[in-house]
Amino acid sequence: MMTNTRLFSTNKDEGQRHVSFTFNGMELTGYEGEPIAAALLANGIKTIRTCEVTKEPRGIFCGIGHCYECRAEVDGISNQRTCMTPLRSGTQVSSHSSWQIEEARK
Amino acid sequence: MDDLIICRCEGIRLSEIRASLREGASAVPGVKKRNRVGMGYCQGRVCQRVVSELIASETGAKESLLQRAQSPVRPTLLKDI
Amino acid sequence: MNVDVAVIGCGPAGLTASIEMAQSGLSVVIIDEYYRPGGRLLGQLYDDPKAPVHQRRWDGKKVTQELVEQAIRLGVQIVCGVTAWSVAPRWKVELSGSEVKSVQAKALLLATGAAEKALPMSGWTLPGVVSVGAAQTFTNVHQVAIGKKVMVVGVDPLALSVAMEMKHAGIQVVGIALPSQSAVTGKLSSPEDALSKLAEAADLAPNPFLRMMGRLVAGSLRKVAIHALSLPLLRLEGIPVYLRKAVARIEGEHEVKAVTLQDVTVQGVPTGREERIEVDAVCLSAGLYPLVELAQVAGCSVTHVPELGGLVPLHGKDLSTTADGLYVAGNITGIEGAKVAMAQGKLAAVSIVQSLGKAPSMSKDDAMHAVEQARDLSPIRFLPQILEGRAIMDQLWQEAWRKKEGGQAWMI
Repeated sequence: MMTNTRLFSTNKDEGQRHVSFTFNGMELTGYEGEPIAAALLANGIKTIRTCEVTKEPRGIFCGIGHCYECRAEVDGISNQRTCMTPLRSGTQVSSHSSWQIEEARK
Repeated sequence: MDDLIICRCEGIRLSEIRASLREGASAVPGVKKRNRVGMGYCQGRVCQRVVSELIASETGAKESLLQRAQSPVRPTLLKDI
Repeated sequence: MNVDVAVIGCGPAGLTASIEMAQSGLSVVIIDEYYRPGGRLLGQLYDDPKAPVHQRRWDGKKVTQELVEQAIRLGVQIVCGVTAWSVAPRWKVELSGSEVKSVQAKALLLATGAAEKALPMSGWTLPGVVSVGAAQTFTNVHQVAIGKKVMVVGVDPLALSVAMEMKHAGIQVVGIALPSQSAVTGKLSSPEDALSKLAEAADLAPNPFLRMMGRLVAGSLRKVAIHALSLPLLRLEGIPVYLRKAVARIEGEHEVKAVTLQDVTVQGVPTGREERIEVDAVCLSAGLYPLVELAQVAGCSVTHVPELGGLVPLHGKDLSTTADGLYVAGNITGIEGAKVAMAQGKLAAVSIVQSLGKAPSMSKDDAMHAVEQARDLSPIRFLPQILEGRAIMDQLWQEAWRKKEGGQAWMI
């Protein structure tokens, strides 16, 4: 899913390294330090989680940490706002928390 | 239209909010007590003003009382409290 | 952690305030839950028509960097990626996401800015539908497209500005239109209201409305606005701005695939004709409101002033509140944008510095005057009745003081 939606701009941050990370086990790349949600979007991924109540797919909405729609488990910690969590090399992002996966397996 | 989701966090639809108003709620706190509007992760940051204006336009009230923000204003781990 | 002043919000107001306070010898910490400093200033990138020619490019990242560098040089501590989840008089700030659990300060400045009003409509929960703020942030801060073909819903100065920013970044903005009428859209669906909002911003040059009209028309702007309503669309730098079509539905099963536009009358009533446009992203704009959660938790009075954007902390001209040692600056006081926020940051800082017995770099009067000057230089007016709003707040504050001196407790 390597749709390229990166933009060229005059005010780009400088010196960003490419790093690998995973999303639900899928290996992707992004820029070190950018929000995880940006790296996902750059890979063409708009759906970040499933709404627990309505079962609808959900993704970025407010983009600045107010709505919590972009939340995911990051390196084992659940409910991280991916629009505000910086990407690092080897970051593991999951749509469901570990306990939800365990429950589903039972 | 009635099916329109108003509270994204808790999946509350317009029809449910209208039902709360018929049951006697007159402001946001009353609606919140009857369904779960404003109780999710965003604590009403996204939907509360919409619900307030909706109540005002459907009940004729001039301006709807909003829920009062409570501590913690963001979901917080117990270990941090 | 123990400091003289804690500032919550590292946007233009918080940063400017911290610089003034540090310059006067106070120890300051700024806390912001976002992963980097700058707040919403970061995402601003446009040509400012009111600035001198050689300073025309307003680059929020650059301005942020300059402010941050200045603040750090003066010893301000900037803590990002940490959430202030509560505050208590006088004054303790509770933190999460940090090894430091709380901050104790003599004074607290809330510069938490604004949040966006929702625009619920059919299909708005689909991935690919984002707020106008998210569109601006992803385009200008992260440089990632929110979609390849974007529909903007909502006709207001911010929506037009972000539509142009997306277009300049290479995104195809297929159009800007109003949402169709529903129980929750209110005036947002009115073509007449949208145009009068834009036409009212007549002293902003270039007026976005005039830009759409393509040339200056002699005669009253009201007449021009009425004429514009008879046209099916105007163009903003080539982007269609639909005045007689409204977005009724956002469609797609798992993600945004298309929008349906309805032809509407001048009053916004659908005529029956519809068309479908394929898009992969939709950007919703319904206005901003002050983010007052921590002010409410702090226990200071908040009051509803629609002209300022909604519920705001009751505050004086010097930006003090009904809670001793608690001050406010920026969009939390009313929606006005970065330049006013910066001037307010300085004003609040002057008030705080004086209250702690130090000498600020300017008088309160000069700082207040600077806020008015900043207002005149603002390229976008978010709220058409902002001046009335400021006057109403001054009246409310004076009334509250009269009551207090009469022996009554602060009204909460």
